[in-house]
Amino acid sequence: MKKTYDAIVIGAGPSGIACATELAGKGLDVAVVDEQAGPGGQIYRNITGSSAAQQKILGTDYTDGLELVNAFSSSAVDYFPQSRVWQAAENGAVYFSRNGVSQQLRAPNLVLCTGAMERPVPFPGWTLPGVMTCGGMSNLYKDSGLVPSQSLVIAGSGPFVWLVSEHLLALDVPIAAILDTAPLKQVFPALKQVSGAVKRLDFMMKGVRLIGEVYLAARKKRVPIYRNVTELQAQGAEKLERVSARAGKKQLVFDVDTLLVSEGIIPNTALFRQVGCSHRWDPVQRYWHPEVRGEGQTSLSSVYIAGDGGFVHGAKSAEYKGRITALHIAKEMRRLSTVEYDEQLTPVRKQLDRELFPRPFIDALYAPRRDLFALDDETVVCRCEGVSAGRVRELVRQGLTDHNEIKAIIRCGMGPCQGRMCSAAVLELISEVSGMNPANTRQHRLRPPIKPVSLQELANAQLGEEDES
Amino acid sequence: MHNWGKKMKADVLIVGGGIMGCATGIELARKGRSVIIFEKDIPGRHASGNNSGGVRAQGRDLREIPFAVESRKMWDQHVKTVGSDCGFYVSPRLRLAESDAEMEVLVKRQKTLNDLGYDHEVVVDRDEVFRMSPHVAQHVVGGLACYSDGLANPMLTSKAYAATAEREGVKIFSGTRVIDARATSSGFRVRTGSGKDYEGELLVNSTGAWAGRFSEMLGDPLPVFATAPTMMVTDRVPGIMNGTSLGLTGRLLGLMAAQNGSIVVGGGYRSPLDLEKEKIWVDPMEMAKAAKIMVEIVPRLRDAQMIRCWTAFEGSIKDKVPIAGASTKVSGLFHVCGFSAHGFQLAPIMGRVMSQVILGKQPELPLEDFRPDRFEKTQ
Amino acid sequence: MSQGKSRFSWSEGQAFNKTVNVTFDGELQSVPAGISVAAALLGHDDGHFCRSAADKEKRAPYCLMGICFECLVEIDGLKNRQACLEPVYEGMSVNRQQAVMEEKNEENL
Repeated sequence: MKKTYDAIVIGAGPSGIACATELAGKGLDVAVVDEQAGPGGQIYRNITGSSAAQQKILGTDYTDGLELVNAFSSSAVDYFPQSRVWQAAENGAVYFSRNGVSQQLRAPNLVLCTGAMERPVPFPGWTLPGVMTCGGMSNLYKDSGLVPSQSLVIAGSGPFVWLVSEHLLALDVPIAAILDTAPLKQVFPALKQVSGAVKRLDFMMKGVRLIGEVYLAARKKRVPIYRNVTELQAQGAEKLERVSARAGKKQLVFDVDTLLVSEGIIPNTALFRQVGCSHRWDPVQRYWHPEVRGEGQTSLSSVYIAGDGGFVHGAKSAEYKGRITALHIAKEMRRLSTVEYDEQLTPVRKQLDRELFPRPFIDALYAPRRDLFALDDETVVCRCEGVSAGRVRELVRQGLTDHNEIKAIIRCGMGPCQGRMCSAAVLELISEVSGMNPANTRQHRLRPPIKPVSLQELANAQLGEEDES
Repeated sequence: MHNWGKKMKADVLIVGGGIMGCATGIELARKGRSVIIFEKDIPGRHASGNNSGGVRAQGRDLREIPFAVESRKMWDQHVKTVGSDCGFYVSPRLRLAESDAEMEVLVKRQKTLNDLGYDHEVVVDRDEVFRMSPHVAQHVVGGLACYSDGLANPMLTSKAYAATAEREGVKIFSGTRVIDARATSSGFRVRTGSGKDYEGELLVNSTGAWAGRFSEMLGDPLPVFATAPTMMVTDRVPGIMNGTSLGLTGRLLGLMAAQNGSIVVGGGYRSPLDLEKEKIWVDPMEMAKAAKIMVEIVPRLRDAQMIRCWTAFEGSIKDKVPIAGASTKVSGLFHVCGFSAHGFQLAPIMGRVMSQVILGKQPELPLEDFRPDRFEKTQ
Repeated sequence: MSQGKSRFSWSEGQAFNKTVNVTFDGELQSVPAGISVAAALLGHDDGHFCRSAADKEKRAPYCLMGICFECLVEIDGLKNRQACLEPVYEGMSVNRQQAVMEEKNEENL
């Protein structure tokens, strides 16, 4: 294994592996560094190890990844699985931990493909054992084939709720209820963006069909679906025992020990913030995302971003963005002439554009509702350090509106997750109490290591410029 | 209380809203003067709010010791003076000797301090070292302890000082950069980034990492350079440090025992920086170096994890003591800067002493050693 | 220690060609090869994984993708490993970090 490459891709989800495969195909030396055991990211997790039964349940949205992963596996990429990147630098250095050893790779081009995550939305009891994200349940099933055998509740809004409901219904998992928290009138503002959606009626119909099928299957299995759900609470002494909520005027209670939640998907920006890419606030989906140009360029000249990390547009878009960035880098590295570049770019660009048509509509339709972060004061916001919403509000009322300063005083964001779980909520609370537009706040800064590294490992690390082996 | 209305004048203008600026402002306001503090970001944004939190009298340059000893007493009064305990707690600081030669250095140090009349650093034998810190490496032969040292929350402290300054009638303009400062016939005039002018009889330079540049503007250039000391912190490892913070004699390392069981690692590691772009890059080589020493000194830490590091712009001076006191070139100008890695604990006393000197009195502790002109060849 | 029942089960049609022997809190178990430690533990019993550092509350996996840090376990003597990112292998020894550790009073797990 080398130390220096033409390009290092961080993340082996669809954008990362599509990018790396394309780069390797152009004869560049590429390394892919990813923390999971196999390629595929979250969406295509464990695709090469999945059984026929799993593939049937998960459908073509999952199996579509097989071709991509197979092409990756047979390419000339140097693949580093189970490797935790803890620092990347704009000069092209990447530091990661693998098998208890920290090492450094360098390249003049870094492509950050760290993907997306479930929007972490605190609610009472969300830290109880038994509360998981819908995406987490999906990961668990893909990874191991485990399914809940006892009654559970699914709550939230957005495509993941329907996707996971569909899978679990097909698996005959006992579902006590599906709680749809999407506000009833959300569709109206989204209609402003319907012109894009109409260009992809197939995509829209797919979504409608999915929801329709869930309703049908739920009715058959007598699984109630409630709409306009609010006041979700997880209750229990030391683990989840009960879920309560309101559906309109009706009070609901379910005795379950598993609750799956989902309130949309947001970019996982930890690595981008550590490297120092500039970010922008999206007012519709209400998240910070890195500023990424047409071919994946960021504010740092040797750093590119591809896939859902730049903006959440789905797995197919991620794949096309990865390829576009690869073509761009190949052209910059003179492995492609401008003519070749234009030729090869055009069809991929077209495919990406096609994927992007309905996105503004989807983003508006599934925009986080206004009261999503209207948390009770007692609700824990920072899971790692046990900081409540009330404590955050108290600091903001004292005049502190800088996320980093609030963190320095009450410790929200100082635990091992470094704010991945609480940044969204803290930002919304700052905005709520101060009236500030989040776009005007200073972003939560992240310093390395972005994942913990043991001291022994750091002590042993050969991180110098020279290869000392 | 002052009616700021249209008045853009004050008795004293202070540039830099970190703890030195705010501490000085508080003392001046309590002595009846009108004060304006100009802070280009927000109080605590840089060194004051992002240092290691060490409230340390141990290991001081001899020139700073009288100040540190007095300042330590003031830390116990914070609830009264700034309305907050600033998150302070006692954590005895133990400087370890890893060899007999190093032990001699420590013995000599105690004698030097005793001869000057100070007893806050005490030589301790191996038994006492292991009583204070049961998990240090076996090769340690002894140490030098300062039982009254401690740790505090730098951000909380910075905010408490700023809030107190405002309560005392000091006007703090945050997000306000001073783009021009000059002496006038009646004192000084500063211009802010928004084009407003303010006048004052006296001017205080407490601009931290920017003190070199700012002092140049006023015709009294100081040899202050920017530096970025970098701290790291581990996850919680209860039962290891026993509440004792550690330092070394022959090499650079500071391990501060936070109350929640995590360990703050400092000791002089500095990151490359760009002051113009306000960027700092953390160098993992430095983290690795520190980790190596940590594991040698407290072997049980090998499984602890580094979870985060932080850093900030600080102002430093090559002889490692600050510049504090009246300018020797510009009448009415005062400096209090260059405290990198040794300023936090001194803030209370520096505020008081600076206010004395600013008001034309003899400072309670002489500032001769901190003169701004001490580097000039003709003295 | 094993509490016997898990609220998860292996789905139908899940053929496991290979299993490996791992030890959970001292108890030898046979689990499907290649799954994550988190999955193996969730399929084993309903015990929590670790305690929150601040409140000492019991915690279990939330995100299953390495960003929530609630699935921390000790693997082969190394603490605070993210169970959702580590595949099981033959002979692995897993201890859940279930005890409460205090600054002055260190407990053995």
